[in-house]
Amino acid sequence: MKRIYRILAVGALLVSQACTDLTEKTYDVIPTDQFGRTPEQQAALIGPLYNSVGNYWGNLFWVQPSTDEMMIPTRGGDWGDGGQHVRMYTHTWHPVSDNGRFDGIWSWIYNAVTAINLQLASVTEPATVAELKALRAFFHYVALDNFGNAIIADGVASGNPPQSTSKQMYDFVEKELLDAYPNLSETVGGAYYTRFNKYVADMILAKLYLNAETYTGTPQWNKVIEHTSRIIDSGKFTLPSDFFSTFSTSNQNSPEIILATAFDRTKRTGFNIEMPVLHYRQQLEFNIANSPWNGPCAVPEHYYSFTDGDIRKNMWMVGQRYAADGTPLTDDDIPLVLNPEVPALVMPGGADTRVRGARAAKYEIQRNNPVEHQDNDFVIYRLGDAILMRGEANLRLGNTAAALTDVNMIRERAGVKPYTAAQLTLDELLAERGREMSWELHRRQDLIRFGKFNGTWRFKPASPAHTKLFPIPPTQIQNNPNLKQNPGY
Amino acid sequence: MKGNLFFLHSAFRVKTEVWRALTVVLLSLLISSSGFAQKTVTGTVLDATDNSAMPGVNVAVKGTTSATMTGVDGKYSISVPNDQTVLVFSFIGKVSKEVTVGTQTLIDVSLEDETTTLSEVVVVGYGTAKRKDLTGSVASIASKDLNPGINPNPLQAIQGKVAGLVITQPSGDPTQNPTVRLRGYTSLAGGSDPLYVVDGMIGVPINTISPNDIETMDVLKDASAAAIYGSRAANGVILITTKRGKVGKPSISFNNYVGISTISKRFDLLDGPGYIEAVKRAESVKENPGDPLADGLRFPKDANGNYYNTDWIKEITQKPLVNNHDLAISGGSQGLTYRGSVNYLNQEGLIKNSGLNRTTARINLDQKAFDNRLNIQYNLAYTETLNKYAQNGAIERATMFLPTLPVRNADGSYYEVLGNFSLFNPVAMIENYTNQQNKKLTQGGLNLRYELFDGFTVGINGQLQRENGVSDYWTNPSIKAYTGDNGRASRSYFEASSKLMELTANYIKALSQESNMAFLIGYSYQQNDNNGFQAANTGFVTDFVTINSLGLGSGTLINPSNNYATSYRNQTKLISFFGRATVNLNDKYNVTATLRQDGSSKFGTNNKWGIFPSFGAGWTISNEEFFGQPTGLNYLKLRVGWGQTGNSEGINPYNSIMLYGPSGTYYDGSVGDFLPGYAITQNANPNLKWEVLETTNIGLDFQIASGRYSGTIEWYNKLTKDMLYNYSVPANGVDYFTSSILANVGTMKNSGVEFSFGGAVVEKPKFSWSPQLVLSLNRNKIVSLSSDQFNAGQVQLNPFGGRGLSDVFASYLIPGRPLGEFNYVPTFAGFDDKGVMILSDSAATGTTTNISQSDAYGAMRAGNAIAQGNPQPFLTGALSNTFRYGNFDLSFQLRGTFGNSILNNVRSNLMIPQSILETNMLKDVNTMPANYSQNQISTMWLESGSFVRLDNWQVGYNLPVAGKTLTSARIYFGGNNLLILTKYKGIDPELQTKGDLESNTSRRPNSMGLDYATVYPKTRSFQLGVNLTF
Repeated sequence: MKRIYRILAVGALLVSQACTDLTEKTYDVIPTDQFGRTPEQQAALIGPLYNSVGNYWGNLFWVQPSTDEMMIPTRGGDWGDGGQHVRMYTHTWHPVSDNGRFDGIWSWIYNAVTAINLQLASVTEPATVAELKALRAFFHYVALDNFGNAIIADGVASGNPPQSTSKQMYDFVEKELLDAYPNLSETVGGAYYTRFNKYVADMILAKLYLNAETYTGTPQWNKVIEHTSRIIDSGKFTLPSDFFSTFSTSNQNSPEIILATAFDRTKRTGFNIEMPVLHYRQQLEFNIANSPWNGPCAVPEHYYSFTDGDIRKNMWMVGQRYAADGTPLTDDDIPLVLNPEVPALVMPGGADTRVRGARAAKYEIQRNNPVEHQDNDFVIYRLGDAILMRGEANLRLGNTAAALTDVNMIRERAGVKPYTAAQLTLDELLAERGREMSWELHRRQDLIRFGKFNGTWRFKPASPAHTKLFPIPPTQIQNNPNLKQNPGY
Repeated sequence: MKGNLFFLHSAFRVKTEVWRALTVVLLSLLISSSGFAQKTVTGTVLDATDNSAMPGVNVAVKGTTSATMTGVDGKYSISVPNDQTVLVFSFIGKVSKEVTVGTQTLIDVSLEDETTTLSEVVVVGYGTAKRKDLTGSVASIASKDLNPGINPNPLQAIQGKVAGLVITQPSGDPTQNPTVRLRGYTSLAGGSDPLYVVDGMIGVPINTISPNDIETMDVLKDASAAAIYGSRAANGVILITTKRGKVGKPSISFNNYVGISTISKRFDLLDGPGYIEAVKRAESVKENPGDPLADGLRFPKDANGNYYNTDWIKEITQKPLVNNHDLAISGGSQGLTYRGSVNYLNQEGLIKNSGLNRTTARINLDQKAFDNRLNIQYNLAYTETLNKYAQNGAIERATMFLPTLPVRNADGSYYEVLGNFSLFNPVAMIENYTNQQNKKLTQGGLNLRYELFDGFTVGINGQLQRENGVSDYWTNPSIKAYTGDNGRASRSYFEASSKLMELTANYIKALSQESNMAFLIGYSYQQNDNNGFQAANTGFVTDFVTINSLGLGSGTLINPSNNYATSYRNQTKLISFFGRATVNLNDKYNVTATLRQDGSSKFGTNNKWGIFPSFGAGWTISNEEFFGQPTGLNYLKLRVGWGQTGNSEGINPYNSIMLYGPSGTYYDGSVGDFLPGYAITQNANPNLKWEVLETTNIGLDFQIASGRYSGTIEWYNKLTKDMLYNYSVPANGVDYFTSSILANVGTMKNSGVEFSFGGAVVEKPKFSWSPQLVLSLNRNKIVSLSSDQFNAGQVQLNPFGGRGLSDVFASYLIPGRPLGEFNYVPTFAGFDDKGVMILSDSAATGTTTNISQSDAYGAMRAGNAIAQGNPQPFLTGALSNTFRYGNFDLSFQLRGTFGNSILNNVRSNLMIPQSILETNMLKDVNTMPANYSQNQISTMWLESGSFVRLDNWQVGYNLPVAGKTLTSARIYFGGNNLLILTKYKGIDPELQTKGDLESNTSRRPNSMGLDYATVYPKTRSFQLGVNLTF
């Protein structure tokens, strides 16, 4: 009997001690108040904010078929994908049907901004503050360019900020970058490779001004010249004679790069451009781990716009393909000859359909790669772009001579004849930008600025003006009552 | 005997050996049961209620076919072999009586009314109750009622037995647990599996229990019954009581069976010659027909110049054998009883290189002392399981790989079509793959009860459970399908331990003969700890060591990454107070109230504690004076219950707090390399709490024809409130870090009717037939997915897979609609002359070939999605039957599902003439337009999923034994899935129906009603077994 009472007493004691303690004992996660104190910890928090920039390519590549340089034709049973690529190409996307695509971009931008804002709330060192503000401005600029009427998020807070107009977004990006500018580093490369320094800020500002008329109705060509000149005249960037060295698997050494995001096939995966682009059987050409997906290709007219002899034309894979051992490849019973001509946006099945379209290999395809991801860093901004931007601004301001100097610098490297003053029209400049900046994710913005985005090209009918902005994703509108859908949707 | 047992334990490889073994066993049994000495016994059988003579009572000599019946005067006469003979007196509606003859020659008996189902003791959680006193919805399955057949998992053994408990075995994979859903889908992220309580331990993995060890399984279906388990009870509670020893001499029982299985149905794929013909047909309609047969890659020829003809399904499957051996010993004295058992199960998989091997051992001891005031139950169980997981990708590839290809090249290497996106040699995949887990579970504890004074009992229940496991994974990178894995080999270890301590106090007071009241209060503390790690490497130059010497891989050196070594650890605590009060008055009125307060460390700081109340009342109408004695209906009881239960199993530890966690890697230019990054990995939710399930249950229990038939009708309404889900959050740059938050927002509703009815249709001395029917109807509806703070946003589910079908989904989550409803499937309207599928257009008056302009897309954009089908059945039911003829018995169960739709994603991918060079196709491809090439989602692929299956059957023979040692012997022959009646064109309409989320961080529920080619085919199995008791 006594033993029982003793057991009960012990039990009762256990109850009184344990019954209210429900705090979670954490083991493999770090509560926020336990981290971010040492410089190493702060670096480990600020670093991944750049990691978000690395998702630039993955998020924006798939909306490039809205331009005249890239298409994803339906190839028989392949790449129908619920009609999404046809909608993208013909500018008939719909907020509901394409919510996922646009919400992906929106969430990428603003989740990155929240993380930046959280660090900005605790960081005081001026150079770091400036760098983070420039980074935040960059994401706002991407939101402005894609969605127009987006959100200005300038600090951690609770509750949804109001929707801003394109003009307000523009003003915010400009102000933030100009404020941050004095405290940004002038170092290029080394510790500052992939990071935001003065030149990256100049480039974002130059892009902002270049498209100021799109964003605000008021052009800012002189400011484009001012900021691109700061980059071009800094002497810190040069055009390498080998055009493709800026896109190689070891392109981190290119002196042309202003801003890149670093990728590694295993340490920082995510750059796998070879997979969507290559023909299935080109697995054997490059001896890569998996069979690629045979999707995006050049709009034929875009491919045709490269003259023979233009070094840049070598970015396109056309003609007979060969296995790594040199044997000619076949597909079913026909030779694997990549044919730049695409007969229809929706093609019937078969080998002849599969070989259609010129494939881009601007970014070096990594041979003998045991994994699906590549080592090339993705170049967001580079000197060639800055030079062409200054040329465009000068041309628009009537400074044709200055414009010729810049544009012909680019043409010279490409191994094509320089333009004469008569040849250098705005249309020609857009075409030259197309060749130089092909598939670098600038085309949509360029077409809009030149008033061509809603025009027609092969298989693409004229589209309504409202498609210049993507729709605000319905998932965001449902969760943020401050957001109104962009006009026209 | 020893020699025979040894024989049984060795693995039978050939059927004839099985027969031989059985013959030996049977012969030895017959020898032991010889020696008869006749005498005659006479007597009268009376009805205990009024002492009237009972005609027609069956009087049988136990263990033999010898039997007689009482005459009109209730008298009988029967000759018996010897004094040890036991006579069995049985009559419908009466409790059977057994009398040992001894020296008697005149034996008079009186038979009591059968009230078995009513006086039966039901386990209700922290105690027991008599069935007649229940107010909640509780279904009990005794061991004798478990499904026959090959059912290594206890859930398979109760499939179809309980109305409203839908148990789905979605494949033939022996390592796969059945999916259990009680009364519909009540949750998205809260977890949907019932709570398993085994001998007082909460949260025992159900697949570690041998069905042979189970005495009863009690299913607490409504809140009135389950609320005593609080925040984890919303999906129902399944209480398992294992067999325990009884006072008496040791009893030894052997239960052994062997079985063999075949594939129950195959895909009707093209064979080699059929494929070639279909290729020609597809080519003939092309604008410029070529000669696809000239492609030596797809149409190689053997040494004799002939095309190959390989049956890939056959190549990857086998006729698997199953062995089950069970030994149990029980007995004991007044103070101590014991039962020990060992069970060995080896179940080969239909797919080669897959299977299940399980050994369980269990010891149950019961100690009584101090005039039976002290009762201690000890239990100790150990289970070791080896799961060899099938390569499901190879199953799909076997449907795709061309029949014109050989398994191997002349040099012995595997035949592969290099540089092809869809063709991978499935045999190579299966033979060069390791994916297995070896798990060990130890569970033990003691449950002490001490009656301090009359009616007042205190109890302590302490249980400890530890499960650990080692998983091995490796693929050979020289195989085409695995090159991208780069030969990754990994070994991972996990350990999950759980400690449970419960203190209870019980008081029972009898108020009168037919009235009593009882009170229970208790406290419970449970702590779960999980930890584990994984080590991996890639790039082995030999496949000799891999997993067993990870350091020999080159990956860590030349392809560095931060995923080669990982680990985790977490802990949760659940603390509870609970109580129950029961009053039973005059055998007419029953009232039960329960209350549980649960506090969980997983919940947010603002909601650590939750209260779960329930009330239930019962009224035995048939015991009222006014009820009288209407003919036929002799028992009628109305039960009404209401209560709230919680659902929190879906909440992972640390989900409510803001955390820094890993965030990939980032480039640090100052070191010139990548470093691990940290970031906020989840949105904090201090309000996170359990999901609340509010259930109203009304039940009517009845018996008719003097208790010969009994049944229950129940109606329920279940409302899930504060539904857990990964809701979308606004990406607004100021307060959310990731795109979703685990929060309590939405509402889901399930309502339905359940009916179960059964009894003895025929009960004759030599022949009896007892069928049992259960039916359940359920209606599910998502009521809401938003609050003023959160909104689910646009959630698509049911991905319609295949080439060219990225981001194509058949369903959206829509408030007002059932979960999983096919509401994004365009209506099929034929084919145009180019072979393009025509769909109804969004005006619903015309047609289109552009899916973006189809009716389904248009309706979704307009906000009034069209319902094309529901993957949830309208009705599920089962009919089980037991026949007895003399010493033979036969049982079988028919189970069916009605009214659900299936989107046949296998058929849609294997019916494309113009893709025939990419993959093999079904024979039916020839019914499609030869120029059809664009894989398209439409109602063409929607089919009825209704089916009736002969789930299991068994024919048994009880050998007439009366030896001193052997007390019973039974041999049986049976099987599973003998036939299925369905119009469904796929392999099997019984598909995975989980309805929970793809992963803890996902917003997408798992597919419902979609058939994929990766599904492990079902088997039809045959079983031969013997049960012996000594």
